[in-house]
Amino acid sequence: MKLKSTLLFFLVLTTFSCKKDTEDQTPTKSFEANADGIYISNEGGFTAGKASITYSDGTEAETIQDVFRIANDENLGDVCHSMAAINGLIYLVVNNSSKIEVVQPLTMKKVKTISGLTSPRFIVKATPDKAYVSDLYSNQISIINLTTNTVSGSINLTGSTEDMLLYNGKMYVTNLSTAFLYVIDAATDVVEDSIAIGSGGNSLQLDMNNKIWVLCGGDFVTSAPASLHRVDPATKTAELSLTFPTPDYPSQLCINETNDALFFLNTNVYKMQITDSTLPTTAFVDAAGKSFYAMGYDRISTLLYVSDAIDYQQAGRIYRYTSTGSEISGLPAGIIPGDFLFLNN
Amino acid sequence: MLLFSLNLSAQIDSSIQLRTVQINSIRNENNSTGLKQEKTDSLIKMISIDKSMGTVLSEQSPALVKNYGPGALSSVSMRGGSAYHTAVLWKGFSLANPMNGVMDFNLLPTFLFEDISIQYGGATAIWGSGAVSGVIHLNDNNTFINRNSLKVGSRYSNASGWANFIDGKFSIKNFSSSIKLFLTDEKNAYPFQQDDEMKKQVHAESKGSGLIAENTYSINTTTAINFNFWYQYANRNIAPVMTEAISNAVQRDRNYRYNITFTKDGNKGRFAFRNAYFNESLYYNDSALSQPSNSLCKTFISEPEYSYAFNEHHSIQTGINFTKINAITAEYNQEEEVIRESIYLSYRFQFRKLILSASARKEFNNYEKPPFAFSLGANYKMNSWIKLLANYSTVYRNPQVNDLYWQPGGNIDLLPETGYTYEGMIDLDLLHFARKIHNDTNAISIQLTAFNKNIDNWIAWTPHGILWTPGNIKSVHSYGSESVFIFRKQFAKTGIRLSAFYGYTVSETTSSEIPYDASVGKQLIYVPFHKAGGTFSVYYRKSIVSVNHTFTGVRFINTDNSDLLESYGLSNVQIDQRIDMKNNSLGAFFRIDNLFNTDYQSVQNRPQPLRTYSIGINLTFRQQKNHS
Repeated sequence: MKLKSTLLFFLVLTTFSCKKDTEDQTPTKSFEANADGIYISNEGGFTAGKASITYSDGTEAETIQDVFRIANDENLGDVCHSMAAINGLIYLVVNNSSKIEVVQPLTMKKVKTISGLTSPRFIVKATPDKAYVSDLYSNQISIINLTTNTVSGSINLTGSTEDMLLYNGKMYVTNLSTAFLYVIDAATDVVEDSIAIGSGGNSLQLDMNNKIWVLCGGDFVTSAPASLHRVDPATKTAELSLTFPTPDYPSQLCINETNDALFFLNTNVYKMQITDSTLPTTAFVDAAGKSFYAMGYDRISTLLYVSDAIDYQQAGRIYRYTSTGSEISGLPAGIIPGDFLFLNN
Repeated sequence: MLLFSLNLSAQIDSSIQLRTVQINSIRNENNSTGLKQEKTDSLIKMISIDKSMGTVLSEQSPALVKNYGPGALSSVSMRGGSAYHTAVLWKGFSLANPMNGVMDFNLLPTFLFEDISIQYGGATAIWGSGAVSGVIHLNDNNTFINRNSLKVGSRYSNASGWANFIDGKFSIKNFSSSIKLFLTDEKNAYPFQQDDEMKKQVHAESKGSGLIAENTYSINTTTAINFNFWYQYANRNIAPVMTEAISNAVQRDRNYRYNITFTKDGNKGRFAFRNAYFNESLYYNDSALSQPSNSLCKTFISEPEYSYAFNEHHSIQTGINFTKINAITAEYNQEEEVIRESIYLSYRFQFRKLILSASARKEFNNYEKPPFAFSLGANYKMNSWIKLLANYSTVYRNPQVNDLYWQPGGNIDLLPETGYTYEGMIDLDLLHFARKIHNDTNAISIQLTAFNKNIDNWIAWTPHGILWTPGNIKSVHSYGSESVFIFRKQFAKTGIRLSAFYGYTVSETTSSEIPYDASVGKQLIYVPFHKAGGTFSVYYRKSIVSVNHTFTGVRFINTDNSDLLESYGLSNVQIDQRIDMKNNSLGAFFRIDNLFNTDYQSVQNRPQPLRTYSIGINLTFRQQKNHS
């Protein structure tokens, strides 16, 4: 009798255990944007494999999460680091999946997957038929053939190459692990110069006077401080260098629609005019404890988009500010919103 | 205590125990009045000889085991706390690496320890920093035996690979020694399912070796010296996550651990002078990244303890702990030294059916200024079959050395995590209720426990700008219940045994320093609300058949609870057979793990094996019986 009841107890336990108590997955539906809009890439957490794309027409009501998965019925991959619009297509750089997904705007339908990369960070068009891809670990810039969307070659460049900017036929490449801004001739793919700046260049912008501003985060190992430089592409020298106090780590250099005011993140959001000769000391937007992570400037609506990654383990939020720094309605995003692409023109 | 004997007793330990020298620590269950304690029983130990502590805890307790895959990291947390909240003590000395606070349960082969027990609840006043949600005690028996023995064994699993061990025990006059040695060589090239595709795990090879030598010299009937040495090495490739195409990461753990204890028994008192030295190295290299990381840590612990019984009702225990940690890695500015000193006192009162105890600890260190910790506990035997336990404790956990000094980000201003916990337990001996005799082979009992825990100043690394730094960022409230059911019955040469558990755990963030943090009011990530399991064994003469099943409920993987890992059930079945040959014996087992081919994840995107098979064999040689 006792044996029976014991066995029954075990059986009940086992049966109960086999039940799944999870909800069904969200049913797959097609995604079709009504109009061009704003795309937000969300990293999704390192190794989580939950990178995603948020689409928005600029209103919270028309903000749709995870549109890549909806359109293609598959996850985007691990850590989508950046996006670029090239030749009418959107390139999604999926860093820790070592790939770039090429998709159609509006539908988000996959056109091609570019593989054969190591740890891609940014893609920038170099000529009408090729683009460069920077990389954290491969010690080279990969060349993408934009006709076939395949890797067609590489350019050796030691260190962690990061953000890039094409100006006047030259690609200017920042490097997180050196104190130089590299110049590559986009026609010949030859590294033809390196311009001494601060350590850890992470972002750059071209201003109305055709000067290149480079923001450097510094170097934790050598304790080199962060800095901001104005580089003259004509003379290939930094004609203005401003140093941040340690241990500041500024990033995400953006420029406004008239190319005469810069924004960057340094815990808070800071704004400076290109004519300023000192770093701003008063925040443009005070983070007030929020985890500001990425920034993008919409040149059409002239709004500054700032993402809050909160604790990096939950859906983030986008805050939007006007040119005077006043906050307007925000937008919901995915986990660790890391880059913005404005296709609303 | 789930002791198990009869036919099995010979199989479990064929040597006759002459005397046990209590060396591990003066502090024991007597100080932990009112707390739930479980001892891993001999049968479970015997059928788990080739398993890691992580696997055994996962199968046998409501503790949450985060398992990154065969050969990889396995961490344990209890009662909705973090992995740092479970203290793992080897003879009373904490094993967690002081630099990162991590205890890898995959590097703890079960066979190394004769005596494994779990103490639930807060015990900071008794065991110090980190004993917040529970304590896992790893001890040996310190037993003098009259027959020297040697046991050798091997296991092969088609999921992982080879594990081999040798276990030798001998005693000469006043000296007893136990030496255990193991070698593992695991490919871990198992197939797994990803989406609808079958893949094979790569870059997960692991090689390990270890030696543990435990020696006791009994100077006279009241004085003994116990010297222990433990060497362990593990060289592991870190497998890629499902989302990564490849991984180049390699991790090497190398530990030397020594401890020496001198004990002297008096008429009413007992003195122990306990000392330990740990030298630990952790090497990690991901060739995709620029530079390898090498962490070296030397820990010296000295702990004089004294206990005194005034009479049958009143006793005290007191001691001083001195801990010095020297840690260095390229990510520190220099070699960092942390010194922690504490004093503790425990009082115990026993009167008829009631035991009361009160313990207190004050720690002094240069940085975190940990609070005064105390605990109050009561055991009350209401009648022959009902026992009641209750405990209230204040608890804390110091930051790790990396939290303080890691560059960039280390925060020297961190405070310890602090809080309080209370619990109550009812222990019902139903066999006794039915006026039958409860013993090692016949038992029906139920234990029901409810607990509550509040922790403030919870430490987590969060970004400030782009710089990650640890802070005291949130408060967490955990509560829940644990139920245990035990049934044992013996008929002639056949016996059956069932043990089952169910744990219900709620662990919520109650406040956060981060603005607009959606984790407030939500369950902590990776804490299942439900975990249940059971082991059912039938034995006949020298054969045993055991079935184990565990269920792990859904676990959230995002702090806003927007995404989760599915619940899963895992079953295994094992057959053990022993053949005796005069003094020697041959044992063999065959086991099927993940019997129903369940595709599951313990940690997000870390693949686990489907159904796997293991076969093991062991030989025990014993000295002829002599006259002692």
